[in-house]
Amino acid sequence: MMLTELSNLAGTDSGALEGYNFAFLDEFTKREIRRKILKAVAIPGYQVPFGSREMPLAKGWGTGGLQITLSIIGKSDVLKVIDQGSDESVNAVNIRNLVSRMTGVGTTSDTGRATIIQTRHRIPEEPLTGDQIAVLQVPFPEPLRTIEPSEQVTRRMHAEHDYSGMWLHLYEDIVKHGKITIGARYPCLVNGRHLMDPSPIPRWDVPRLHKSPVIHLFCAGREKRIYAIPPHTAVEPLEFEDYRFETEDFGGKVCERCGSSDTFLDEIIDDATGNARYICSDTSFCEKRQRGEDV
Amino acid sequence: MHVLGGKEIKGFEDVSFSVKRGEFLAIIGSSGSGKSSLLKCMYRTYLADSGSMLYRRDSDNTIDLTTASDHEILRLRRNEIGYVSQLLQAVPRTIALDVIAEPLLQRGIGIDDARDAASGYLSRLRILEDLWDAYPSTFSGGERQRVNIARALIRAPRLLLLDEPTSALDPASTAVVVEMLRAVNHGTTMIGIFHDLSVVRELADRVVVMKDNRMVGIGTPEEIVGDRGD
Amino acid sequence: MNPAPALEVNNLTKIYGSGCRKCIENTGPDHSRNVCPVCGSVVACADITFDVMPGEILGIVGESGSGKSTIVRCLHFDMEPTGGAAYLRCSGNDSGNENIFLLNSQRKRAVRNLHLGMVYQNPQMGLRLDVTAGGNIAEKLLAAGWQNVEKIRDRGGKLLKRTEIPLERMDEAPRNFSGGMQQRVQIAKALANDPDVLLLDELTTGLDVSVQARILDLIKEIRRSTNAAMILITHDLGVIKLLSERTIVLKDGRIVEMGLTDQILEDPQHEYTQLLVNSVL
Ligand SMILES: Nc1ncnc2c1ncn2[C@@H]1O[C@H](COP(=O)(O)OP(=O)(O)OP(=O)(O)O)[C@@H](O)[C@H]1O
Ligand SMILES: Nc1ncnc2c1ncn2[C@@H]1O[C@H](COP(=O)(O)OP(=O)(O)OP(=O)(O)O)[C@@H](O)[C@H]1O
Ligand SMILES: [Mg+2]
Ligand SMILES: [Mg+2]
Ligand SMILES: [Zn+2]
Repeated sequence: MMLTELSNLAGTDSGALEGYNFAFLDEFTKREIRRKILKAVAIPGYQVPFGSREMPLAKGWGTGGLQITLSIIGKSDVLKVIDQGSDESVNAVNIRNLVSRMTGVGTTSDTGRATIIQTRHRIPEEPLTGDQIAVLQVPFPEPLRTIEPSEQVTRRMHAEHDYSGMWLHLYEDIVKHGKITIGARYPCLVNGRHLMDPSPIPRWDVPRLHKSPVIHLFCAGREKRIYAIPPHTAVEPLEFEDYRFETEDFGGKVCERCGSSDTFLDEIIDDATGNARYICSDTSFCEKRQRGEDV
Repeated sequence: MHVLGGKEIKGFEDVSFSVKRGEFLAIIGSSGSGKSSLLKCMYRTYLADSGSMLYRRDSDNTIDLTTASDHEILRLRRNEIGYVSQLLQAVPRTIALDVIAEPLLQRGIGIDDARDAASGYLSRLRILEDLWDAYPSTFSGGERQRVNIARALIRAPRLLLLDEPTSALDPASTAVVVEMLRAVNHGTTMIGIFHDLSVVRELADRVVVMKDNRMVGIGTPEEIVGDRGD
Repeated sequence: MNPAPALEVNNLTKIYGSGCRKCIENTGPDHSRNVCPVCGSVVACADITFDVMPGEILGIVGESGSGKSTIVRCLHFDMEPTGGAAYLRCSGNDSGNENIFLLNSQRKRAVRNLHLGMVYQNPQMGLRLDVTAGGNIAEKLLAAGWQNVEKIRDRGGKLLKRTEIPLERMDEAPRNFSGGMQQRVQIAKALANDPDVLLLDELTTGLDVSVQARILDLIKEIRRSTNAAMILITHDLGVIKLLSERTIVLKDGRIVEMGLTDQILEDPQHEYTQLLVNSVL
């Protein structure tokens, strides 16, 4: 009874689509996901299983991130959704539209204005603040899956803080290639305890998770796992004393649009000339720089 | 208070005797009379069925070799009691020098010092220098037996058990070994089985005579060997 | 005054299956079986009590199925014993007075990584055959907290040299190594963290004689140069004679005789040991 009332209230509110509960999910589901988020925040880096719902979106297209966003969003929030740094990719637009229609909340591409930033494969260049929440879409939540197929075994490894297998994986990489070749999904130790897959963000973004003032929430819809990095938590990529973790090196290249030399660049091969061009992967950031805004 | 070590052995099918520290006791008797068995009981290679063998240690405490723990026996073997078997057990794939040096290595002595000491014994036992880095499994019986003795002596045992150490040797080598045993530190007590009565006369302070697994006599070499009219 | 044992094992028992109250009394050498006729459980070993001194090699002999591997695999935490206790008394082990079987799994892993080394009967169990030889050794070092690749490779190289694996094969996976070489890599891995207790399960079985001989020499060298307590399992009395000063004889999961190796071989007390010794001669 109460719930119906609640949903009616939400449903009739400004802008949200009639006939649906506010933010699409029913209140039970939201509460379940919020509880799991709280647990994830309490145990940084630990993967909390949750009852992932069917979403009006194919699995693997951000259903996990979407469920978190829908569970935490309120009417005063401002949402930004990016996919590989771009606000305008089809997937980002679709998710943004869906949330907007289901809640009526405002959206933005301006990182500074957003209160919730749902993202796939990137963390915005513009430093986030403690008032913001980052929601990351995760395809593979288990960092140990590359070395161990059994879920039972990887759970035991986490429980016992037994990460020698992953260290061995890095050692073998160095022996075979002279360096650590992992690009995206670089394994990180969270709060000195749990090994975490930071989702397929480039190495470039990994140091920005470390002691960040922002809460980062990760969710894999298909694999039904939620994990979190609470604000100011240590996030350390695995590295050896003599083979340190390194971010991508663009060899002095600058963004041809905004001239930045301190951003993560996408390499675009010009079909006509065959030449490589470099532009910022974070389009909103790039535009700000082009407008000469101080970021 | 320092009491000279003395060893006492009681009851091996009526075998009872005691040996004083530094004394050389010879055991003689016909083949199969139980001489080797007696010696092996002292070394715990055989387990005695009854009786006791009291061994007085340096520290003056007495230990019963028949009931001591395996660990205690191993400690005694490592530090105090040596044994030269009737048949040489060659250590495979180890050169003569190292066969002899090994007991010192076990005690933590460096390889160079241990080999130095080992070569001293080899030259005193008149083993040709060419053979020092050869495998004893290729040696003649006499050469092997001398390696065997050197390996036991290098530990400077307090009690040395010898099972026919001269049986495989020609007269010249026998003389070398006898000379060597005579020269052993007076603190070392020796119990040895010998067939060669002239060796017994030269080395022994007292003689035990075994017959049919019993001890049938004990006395000085003059009394025992003389009695038998050798 | 006397040195304390590195490892003490008390009444170690392992039963495969549900077990029943009659299991123990109905099995063992007196019954010539290790399968309980009441409940069908396998009493792989029972009431196993022994100790090993630092620097000592303890031999365990017994026929196939007598429970030899079960004992060391329980001690290496590869399986849970049904009963019994074991104490690992070595420096740096803060659980010296605790029954190691009762430690939580994280502490068991620490004990295994810092204090134990194991060479399995089957190299497939002891090695990751598709990880490089150096990586197999590195795993043990990484588990003990080593974080410097150069130092890890330096240590790995030294261990491989010591076990006579050519250095140029360090970055090759042992899958294609000969059995003897695989066994050497296992030994190098087992030695990686200077273990206080080395568990050696049939390390020469199935190897040709000259390879066997060199591995046995290697064990002798390890005895000389470390103070590790070793448990050496074999059904080859020649190996026992060569390497161990004390020996346990196992039959149907029980210790039928324990003593100095020369005594076991020359004056065996138990009927079964006599049979075992005589069948060799
Ligand atoms: N391990 C054994 N098992 C069974 N019988 C044994 C064993 N060792 C010795 N005996 C027997 O005990 C008896 C005494 O043997 P022992 O070797 O002590 O004689 P011995 O006096 O040293 O003879 P020899 O002068 O020929 O060396 C012999 O009958 C022998 O067969
Ligand atoms: N996983 C298991 N389940 C049931 N029985 C087992 C299992 N593992 C071993 N056993 C049984 O336990 C007994 C002891 O086995 P174990 O492997 O310890 O013998 P072993 O002495 O090492 O033999 P081998 O010399 O052949 O290696 C055997 O009867 C064996 O069949
Ligand atoms: Mg004899
Ligand atoms: Mg086995
Ligand atoms: Zn740009």
